Amino acid sequence: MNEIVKTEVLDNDKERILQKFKELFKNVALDSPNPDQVEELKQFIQENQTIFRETYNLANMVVDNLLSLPETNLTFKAAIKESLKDIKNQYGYSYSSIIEKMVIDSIIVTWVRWQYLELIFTTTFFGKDFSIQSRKQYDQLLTSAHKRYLRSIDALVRIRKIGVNLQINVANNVGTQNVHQK
Amino acid sequence: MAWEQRGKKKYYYRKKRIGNRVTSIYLGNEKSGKIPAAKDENKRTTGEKQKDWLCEVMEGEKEVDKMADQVELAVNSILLISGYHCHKGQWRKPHERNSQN
Repeated sequence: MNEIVKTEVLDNDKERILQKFKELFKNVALDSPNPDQVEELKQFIQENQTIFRETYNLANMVVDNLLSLPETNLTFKAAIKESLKDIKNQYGYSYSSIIEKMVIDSIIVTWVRWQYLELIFTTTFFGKDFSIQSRKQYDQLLTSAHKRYLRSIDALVRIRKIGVNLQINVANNVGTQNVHQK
Repeated sequence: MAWEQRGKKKYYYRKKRIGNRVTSIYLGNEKSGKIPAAKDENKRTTGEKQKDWLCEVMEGEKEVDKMADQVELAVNSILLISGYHCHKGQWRKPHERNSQN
Protein backbone atom coordinates (compact mmCIF):
# COMPACT_ATOMS: atom_id res chain seq x y z
CA MET A 1 0.00 0.00 0.00
CA ASN A 2 2.82 2.37 0.87
CA GLU A 3 4.49 1.69 -2.48
CA ILE A 4 1.31 2.68 -4.34
CA VAL A 5 1.14 5.94 -2.39
CA LYS A 6 4.83 6.56 -3.06
CA THR A 7 4.33 6.02 -6.81
CA GLU A 8 1.35 8.39 -6.81
CA VAL A 9 3.39 11.04 -4.99
CA LEU A 10 6.21 10.69 -7.57
CA ASP A 11 3.73 11.03 -10.47
CA ASN A 12 2.22 14.14 -8.88
CA ASP A 13 5.72 15.58 -8.50
CA LYS A 14 6.44 14.96 -12.18
CA GLU A 15 3.18 16.62 -13.15
CA ARG A 16 3.96 19.60 -10.95
CA ILE A 17 7.44 19.97 -12.46
CA LEU A 18 6.01 19.76 -15.96
CA GLN A 19 3.35 22.37 -15.16
CA LYS A 20 5.97 24.70 -13.72
CA PHE A 21 8.14 24.15 -16.83
CA LYS A 22 5.21 25.08 -19.10
CA GLU A 23 4.48 28.23 -17.07
CA LEU A 24 8.10 29.39 -17.19
CA PHE A 25 8.26 28.68 -20.92
CA LYS A 26 5.06 30.67 -21.52
CA ASN A 27 6.56 33.69 -19.70
CA VAL A 28 9.67 33.56 -21.86
CA ALA A 29 8.14 32.74 -25.26
CA LEU A 30 7.65 36.38 -26.30
CA ASP A 31 9.22 38.63 -28.90
CA SER A 32 11.22 40.47 -26.21
CA PRO A 33 11.49 38.19 -23.19
CA ASN A 34 12.50 39.49 -19.80
CA PRO A 35 16.16 38.46 -19.15
CA ASP A 36 15.34 37.60 -15.52
CA GLN A 37 12.66 35.19 -16.64
CA VAL A 38 15.04 33.63 -19.18
CA GLU A 39 17.52 33.15 -16.35
CA GLU A 40 14.80 31.60 -14.21
CA LEU A 41 14.00 29.10 -17.01
CA LYS A 42 17.70 28.29 -17.38
CA GLN A 43 17.98 27.72 -13.63
CA PHE A 44 14.89 25.54 -13.65
CA ILE A 45 16.27 23.33 -16.43
CA GLN A 46 19.57 23.01 -14.57
CA GLU A 47 17.79 21.92 -11.42
CA ASN A 48 15.32 19.58 -13.12
CA GLN A 49 17.26 17.67 -15.71
CA THR A 50 14.93 14.75 -15.08
CA ILE A 51 12.60 16.39 -17.62
CA PHE A 52 14.95 15.44 -20.45
CA ARG A 53 15.58 12.03 -18.99
CA GLU A 54 11.86 11.39 -18.59
CA THR A 55 11.13 12.48 -22.16
CA TYR A 56 13.96 10.27 -23.41
CA ASN A 57 12.56 7.25 -21.53
CA LEU A 58 8.96 8.07 -22.44
CA ALA A 59 9.69 7.82 -26.18
CA ASN A 60 11.14 4.30 -25.83
CA MET A 61 8.20 3.25 -23.68
CA VAL A 62 5.65 4.56 -26.16
CA VAL A 63 7.29 2.64 -29.06
CA ASP A 64 7.25 -0.58 -27.02
CA ASN A 65 3.59 -0.04 -26.13
CA LEU A 66 2.66 0.65 -29.74
CA LEU A 67 4.34 -2.53 -30.95
CA SER A 68 2.57 -4.62 -28.31
CA LEU A 69 -0.95 -3.54 -29.38
CA PRO A 70 -3.24 -6.39 -30.50
CA GLU A 71 -3.77 -5.11 -34.05
CA THR A 72 -0.05 -5.35 -34.85
CA ASN A 73 0.93 -8.70 -36.32
CA LEU A 74 4.41 -10.22 -36.53
CA THR A 75 5.01 -8.97 -40.07
CA PHE A 76 4.14 -5.41 -39.09
CA LYS A 77 6.39 -5.54 -36.01
CA ALA A 78 9.33 -6.96 -37.98
CA ALA A 79 8.90 -4.36 -40.75
CA ILE A 80 8.71 -1.52 -38.21
CA LYS A 81 11.81 -2.69 -36.32
CA GLU A 82 13.84 -2.85 -39.53
CA SER A 83 12.58 0.56 -40.59
CA LEU A 84 13.48 2.03 -37.20
CA LYS A 85 17.11 1.01 -37.73
CA ASP A 86 17.09 2.71 -41.15
CA ILE A 87 15.51 5.86 -39.71
CA LYS A 88 18.10 6.03 -36.93
CA ASN A 89 20.95 5.67 -39.45
CA GLN A 90 19.38 8.25 -41.72
CA TYR A 91 19.24 10.84 -38.95
CA GLY A 92 22.67 9.96 -37.56
CA TYR A 93 21.39 8.78 -34.20
CA SER A 94 24.62 7.20 -33.02
CA TYR A 95 26.68 10.40 -33.27
CA SER A 96 24.00 12.88 -32.20
CA SER A 97 23.89 14.84 -28.96
CA ILE A 98 21.48 13.80 -26.22
CA ILE A 99 18.97 16.49 -27.20
CA GLU A 100 19.08 15.43 -30.85
CA LYS A 101 18.61 11.81 -29.78
CA MET A 102 15.55 12.84 -27.79
CA VAL A 103 14.10 14.58 -30.85
CA ILE A 104 14.96 11.64 -33.15
CA ASP A 105 13.16 9.36 -30.69
CA SER A 106 10.16 11.65 -30.94
CA ILE A 107 10.30 11.36 -34.76
CA ILE A 108 10.41 7.59 -34.43
CA VAL A 109 7.44 7.46 -32.05
CA THR A 110 5.28 9.74 -34.17
CA TRP A 111 6.23 7.78 -37.31
CA VAL A 112 5.38 4.42 -35.69
CA ARG A 113 2.06 5.76 -34.46
CA TRP A 114 1.25 7.08 -37.94
CA GLN A 115 2.08 3.67 -39.48
CA TYR A 116 -0.08 1.95 -36.87
CA LEU A 117 -3.05 4.21 -37.65
CA GLU A 118 -2.59 3.53 -41.39
CA LEU A 119 -2.56 -0.21 -40.66
CA ILE A 120 -5.80 0.02 -38.68
CA PHE A 121 -7.37 2.03 -41.49
CA THR A 122 -6.66 -0.66 -44.08
CA THR A 123 -7.60 -3.63 -41.87
CA THR A 124 -10.60 -2.13 -40.08
CA PHE A 125 -12.35 0.22 -42.45
CA PHE A 126 -12.03 -1.42 -45.86
CA GLY A 127 -15.10 -3.44 -46.77
CA LYS A 128 -16.72 -2.83 -43.38
CA ASP A 129 -19.90 -0.98 -42.51
CA PHE A 130 -18.69 2.23 -40.85
CA SER A 131 -20.68 5.44 -40.72
CA ILE A 132 -19.48 8.50 -42.63
CA GLN A 133 -19.03 10.28 -39.31
CA SER A 134 -16.65 7.59 -38.03
CA ARG A 135 -14.67 7.61 -41.27
CA LYS A 136 -14.40 11.38 -41.13
CA GLN A 137 -13.18 11.28 -37.52
CA TYR A 138 -10.60 8.66 -38.38
CA ASP A 139 -9.41 10.65 -41.37
CA GLN A 140 -8.87 13.63 -39.04
CA LEU A 141 -6.88 11.38 -36.69
CA LEU A 142 -4.63 10.28 -39.57
CA THR A 143 -4.08 13.87 -40.66
CA SER A 144 -3.14 15.04 -37.17
CA ALA A 145 -0.80 12.04 -36.72
CA HIS A 146 0.97 12.96 -39.95
CA LYS A 147 1.23 16.63 -38.90
CA ARG A 148 2.68 15.58 -35.57
CA TYR A 149 5.34 13.53 -37.38
CA LEU A 150 6.25 16.54 -39.56
CA ARG A 151 6.46 18.79 -36.46
CA SER A 152 8.97 16.39 -34.87
CA ILE A 153 11.17 16.56 -37.97
CA ASP A 154 10.88 20.33 -37.89
CA ALA A 155 12.10 20.32 -34.26
CA LEU A 156 15.21 18.36 -35.29
CA VAL A 157 15.88 20.76 -38.14
CA ARG A 158 15.63 23.71 -35.73
CA ILE A 159 18.06 22.19 -33.24
CA ARG A 160 20.60 21.25 -35.91
CA LYS A 161 20.29 24.48 -37.85
CA ILE A 162 21.21 26.71 -34.94
CA GLY A 163 23.88 24.24 -33.82
CA VAL A 164 23.04 24.24 -30.13
CA ASN A 165 24.91 21.60 -28.20
CA LEU A 166 23.40 21.31 -24.75
CA GLN A 167 25.30 18.97 -22.47
CA ILE A 168 22.97 17.04 -20.27
CA ASN A 169 24.00 14.25 -18.00
CA VAL A 170 21.28 11.64 -18.46
CA ALA A 171 22.90 8.88 -16.44
CA ASN A 172 23.43 10.67 -13.13
CA ASN A 173 21.17 12.79 -10.99
CA VAL A 174 23.68 15.61 -10.81
CA GLY A 175 24.18 17.17 -14.21
CA THR A 176 25.87 20.12 -15.82
CA GLN A 177 24.49 22.39 -18.45
CA ASN A 178 26.74 24.08 -20.98
CA VAL A 179 25.29 25.70 -24.02
CA HIS A 180 27.83 25.60 -26.79
CA GLN A 181 27.02 27.21 -30.10
CA LYS A 182 28.72 26.65 -33.40
CA MET B 1 -37.53 4.43 -33.78
CA ALA B 2 -39.83 2.74 -31.33
CA TRP B 3 -42.69 0.43 -30.69
CA GLU B 4 -45.93 2.32 -30.10
CA GLN B 5 -48.95 0.90 -28.36
CA ARG B 6 -52.37 1.42 -30.04
CA GLY B 7 -54.98 -0.29 -27.92
CA LYS B 8 -53.90 -3.88 -27.43
CA LYS B 9 -51.53 -3.99 -30.41
CA LYS B 10 -48.03 -2.65 -31.01
CA TYR B 11 -46.71 -1.03 -34.14
CA TYR B 12 -43.17 -0.09 -35.12
CA TYR B 13 -42.47 3.47 -36.32
CA ARG B 14 -39.33 5.23 -37.43
CA LYS B 15 -39.10 8.99 -36.81
CA LYS B 16 -37.56 11.14 -39.50
CA ARG B 17 -36.88 14.86 -39.54
CA ILE B 18 -37.84 16.61 -42.79
CA GLY B 19 -36.98 20.30 -42.49
CA ASN B 20 -38.53 21.56 -39.25
CA ARG B 21 -41.01 18.73 -38.93
CA VAL B 22 -40.61 15.25 -37.53
CA THR B 23 -42.63 12.63 -39.39
CA SER B 24 -43.38 9.05 -38.37
CA ILE B 25 -42.88 6.27 -40.89
CA TYR B 26 -44.85 3.11 -40.28
CA LEU B 27 -42.69 -0.02 -40.68
CA GLY B 28 -44.84 -2.87 -39.41
CA ASN B 29 -47.02 -4.46 -36.79
CA GLU B 30 -46.05 -6.91 -34.07
CA LYS B 31 -45.05 -9.56 -36.60
CA SER B 32 -43.73 -7.62 -39.59
CA GLY B 33 -42.12 -4.88 -37.48
CA LYS B 34 -39.68 -7.25 -35.83
CA ILE B 35 -37.20 -7.31 -38.72
CA PRO B 36 -36.84 -3.50 -39.10
CA ALA B 37 -36.66 -3.23 -35.28
CA ALA B 38 -33.83 -5.76 -35.19
CA LYS B 39 -32.02 -3.91 -38.03
CA ASP B 40 -32.30 -0.60 -36.19
CA GLU B 41 -31.09 -2.16 -32.94
CA ASN B 42 -28.14 -3.72 -34.75
CA LYS B 43 -27.28 -0.37 -36.33
CA ARG B 44 -27.42 1.33 -32.95
CA THR B 45 -25.23 -1.32 -31.28
CA THR B 46 -22.70 -1.24 -34.13
CA GLY B 47 -22.63 2.57 -33.97
CA GLU B 48 -21.94 2.43 -30.25
CA LYS B 49 -19.18 -0.15 -30.71
CA GLN B 50 -17.57 2.01 -33.41
CA LYS B 51 -17.77 5.02 -31.11
CA ASP B 52 -16.17 3.07 -28.23
CA TRP B 53 -13.43 1.80 -30.51
CA LEU B 54 -12.68 5.30 -31.81
CA CYS B 55 -12.54 6.56 -28.23
CA GLU B 56 -9.94 3.88 -27.44
CA VAL B 57 -7.82 4.89 -30.42
CA MET B 58 -8.04 8.55 -29.43
CA GLU B 59 -6.95 7.68 -25.88
CA GLY B 60 -3.82 6.12 -27.38
CA GLU B 61 -3.26 9.32 -29.34
CA LYS B 62 -3.14 11.31 -26.08
CA GLU B 63 -0.06 9.40 -24.90
CA VAL B 64 1.81 10.13 -28.11
CA ASP B 65 0.63 13.74 -28.17
CA LYS B 66 1.90 14.20 -24.60
CA MET B 67 5.34 12.91 -25.53
CA ALA B 68 5.54 14.97 -28.72
CA ASP B 69 4.48 18.12 -26.84
CA GLN B 70 7.10 17.52 -24.14
CA VAL B 71 9.84 17.17 -26.74
CA GLU B 72 8.74 20.30 -28.54
CA LEU B 73 8.62 22.18 -25.24
CA ALA B 74 12.13 21.00 -24.36
CA VAL B 75 13.50 21.98 -27.80
CA ASN B 76 11.85 25.41 -27.73
CA SER B 77 13.11 26.03 -24.18
CA ILE B 78 16.65 25.26 -25.27
CA LEU B 79 16.28 27.70 -28.16
CA LEU B 80 14.94 30.37 -25.80
CA ILE B 81 17.73 30.03 -23.24
CA SER B 82 20.25 30.07 -26.11
CA GLY B 83 19.07 33.57 -26.94
CA TYR B 84 16.67 32.79 -29.77
CA HIS B 85 13.06 33.83 -29.95
CA CYS B 86 10.19 32.89 -32.22
CA HIS B 87 8.95 35.67 -34.49
CA LYS B 88 6.17 34.83 -36.92
CA GLY B 89 7.11 31.16 -36.89
CA GLN B 90 10.85 31.77 -37.43
CA TRP B 91 13.43 31.24 -34.74
CA ARG B 92 16.07 33.99 -34.76
CA LYS B 93 18.39 35.93 -32.48
CA PRO B 94 17.32 39.53 -31.66
CA HIS B 95 20.53 41.18 -32.84
CA GLU B 96 20.91 39.29 -36.16
CA ARG B 97 19.79 42.30 -38.26
CA ASN B 98 22.16 44.67 -36.44
CA SER B 99 25.17 42.38 -36.79
CA GLN B 100 24.66 42.21 -40.57
CA ASN B 101 24.87 46.07 -40.71
